[in-house]
Amino acid sequence: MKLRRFAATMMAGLMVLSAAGCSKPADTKAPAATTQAPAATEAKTEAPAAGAEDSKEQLHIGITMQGNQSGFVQYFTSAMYEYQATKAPDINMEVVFADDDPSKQFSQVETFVSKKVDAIIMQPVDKVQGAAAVDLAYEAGIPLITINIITDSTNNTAHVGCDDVQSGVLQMQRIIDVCGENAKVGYVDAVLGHSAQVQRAEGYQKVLSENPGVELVVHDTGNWSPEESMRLVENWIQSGKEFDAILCMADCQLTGVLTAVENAGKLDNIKLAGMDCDPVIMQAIKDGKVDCSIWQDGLAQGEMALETAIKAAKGEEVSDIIIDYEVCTKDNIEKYEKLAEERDALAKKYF
Amino acid sequence: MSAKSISKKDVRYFLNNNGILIGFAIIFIFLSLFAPNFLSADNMVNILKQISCIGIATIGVGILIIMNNNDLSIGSMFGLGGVAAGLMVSTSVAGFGLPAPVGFLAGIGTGLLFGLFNGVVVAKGHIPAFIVTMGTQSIARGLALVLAHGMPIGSFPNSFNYLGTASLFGVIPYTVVIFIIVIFVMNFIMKKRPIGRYIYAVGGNEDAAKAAGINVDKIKIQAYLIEGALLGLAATLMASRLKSASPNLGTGYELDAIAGCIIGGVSFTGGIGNVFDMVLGALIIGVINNGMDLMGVEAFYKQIVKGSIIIIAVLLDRKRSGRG
Repeated sequence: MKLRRFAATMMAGLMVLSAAGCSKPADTKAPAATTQAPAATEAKTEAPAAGAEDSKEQLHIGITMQGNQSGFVQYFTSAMYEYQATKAPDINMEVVFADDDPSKQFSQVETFVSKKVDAIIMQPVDKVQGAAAVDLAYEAGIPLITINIITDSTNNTAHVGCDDVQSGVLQMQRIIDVCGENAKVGYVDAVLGHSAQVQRAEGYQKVLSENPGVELVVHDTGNWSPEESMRLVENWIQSGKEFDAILCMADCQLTGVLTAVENAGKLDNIKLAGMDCDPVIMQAIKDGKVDCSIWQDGLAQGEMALETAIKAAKGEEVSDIIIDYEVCTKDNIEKYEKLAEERDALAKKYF
Repeated sequence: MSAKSISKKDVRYFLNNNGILIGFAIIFIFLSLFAPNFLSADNMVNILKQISCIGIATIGVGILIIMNNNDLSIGSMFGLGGVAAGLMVSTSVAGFGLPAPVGFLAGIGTGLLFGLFNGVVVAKGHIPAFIVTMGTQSIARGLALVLAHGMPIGSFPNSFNYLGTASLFGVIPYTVVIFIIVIFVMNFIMKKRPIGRYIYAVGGNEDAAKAAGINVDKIKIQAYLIEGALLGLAATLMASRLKSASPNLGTGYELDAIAGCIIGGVSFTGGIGNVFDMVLGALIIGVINNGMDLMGVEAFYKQIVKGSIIIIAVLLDRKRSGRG
């Protein structure tokens, strides 16, 4: 009896271990595949590079990204791989994903520091909690470049990214230009407290304070979920609120909002604005269902971050790089469609 | 005199056994008074529409909880089921552009497949459902991201969107019709079919069920299959309603679904609960969400209010169980 129970426990333990093992590859399948691609390019280019300057050591750059679930993380990372493959074949790039967990990211930076990498690129999971990791690298004397999101620490060597306040300003300004100075607007927040949400709301407020005629009817969070955003807007319309425009802090939310407005038959009365230029929304802009979305150049951010990190690793002077947001409307959609195609093709190549 | 005491007893009996119903009535009356447009036919339909998909998932996980099991992969299945269905029907470059029924079959099939996997590993592997489904949660989410390349899928044909957006006689949305059918079918299965009674037996006392000659493993696998099919259906309906599918959809839905069951009086120790009460639980969550949106409660406070009401609702119900 005892033996049987022991065996059962062991068995369960083993199964748990194997289950845990099972879930991991599926979750990290994409990055696993990607690390192979650059490894291949490395192998190809290593021979001539080593021949030319065999005494010089390879630059080792540690990269920790937020998680592998968002499109933008893919764009940043693929741009880095592409840059390495085409312009800097002699560097050793180590990419890890923090799975949206700030403490995991901190230990990843710790590992990079103990490995004494030449530079670190970090896409902070969290603005506040990321600061400790930045300080850690600073104290160890390793240059650290933040990409896309800043942290509360000013000890980063440089920052490469966009100004989220600008995205809010551009979007709200565009809507006021289209709907007039007395527009009634509502907006769907991203996850509350996320730095993108805080800064985009700041951008909205900035424009609203300059346009006192514009009425902010209501705003609430869609938690980055199309379904929650749809429910929210259905309820807004249900409660009899009137809108000239509804703005979304992300296109993934706008897909739900679009459906809610379309089902209510109010597509002609309510202008919709999104951010990120997701393919679904770009199609809707072409169909005239959505007024605009905001283009964020993900590839440029990835490329510049790696370029800056390489410079910093070599001990060169580096400075912050801010990449502008752009407004994408029906009039200029072809340009962004083409850019998006290139971007997605690159992401598919590495993910 | 005696008549009075009987009626008093009746009232107490009613109060003790219908705590959730009373809680629901209080919330409902409160919102009717204070939330603009709450008590309109349009809004009632609106609420039902909003809880249909999550309600179907609530019933699914409810029968597992009755069986003293669980499923933490519900949220991921909303992502994966929707993506599987979406890929089949989407006319964009990513999709196959197949007819709508293929999409629905793909969504439900994906649910069945994961139900089978969960059921077999739980039953034959003797691993706690909590652990197994936490694993599948990760697997399903990963698969959804891989299949969809991390991007939302759109461009569904109208035939696929029809069930999610159209209404029977122009009044009752088809999602609600399907939800109601699921409620009655599941209630019938749980009350009248052997499998339903076996599920209660396994949840109440697994060893006793085994001793009574019930094939416990088989019942577990069947229950997970039923749940998987319901999840697949819910996910596909959701995609049809949203006219798009996103691999990240459904994060945290397992909590809403499980909370709906618990509010509805399904016992976490197994063996107790019924389908109509689960639906009532899902309705309470849906009504609170809708009412607060109508009243314009600020986002930060919404979460506090929602959590508090859930706890109060369950407390009302627990008072009854404590006495019983």
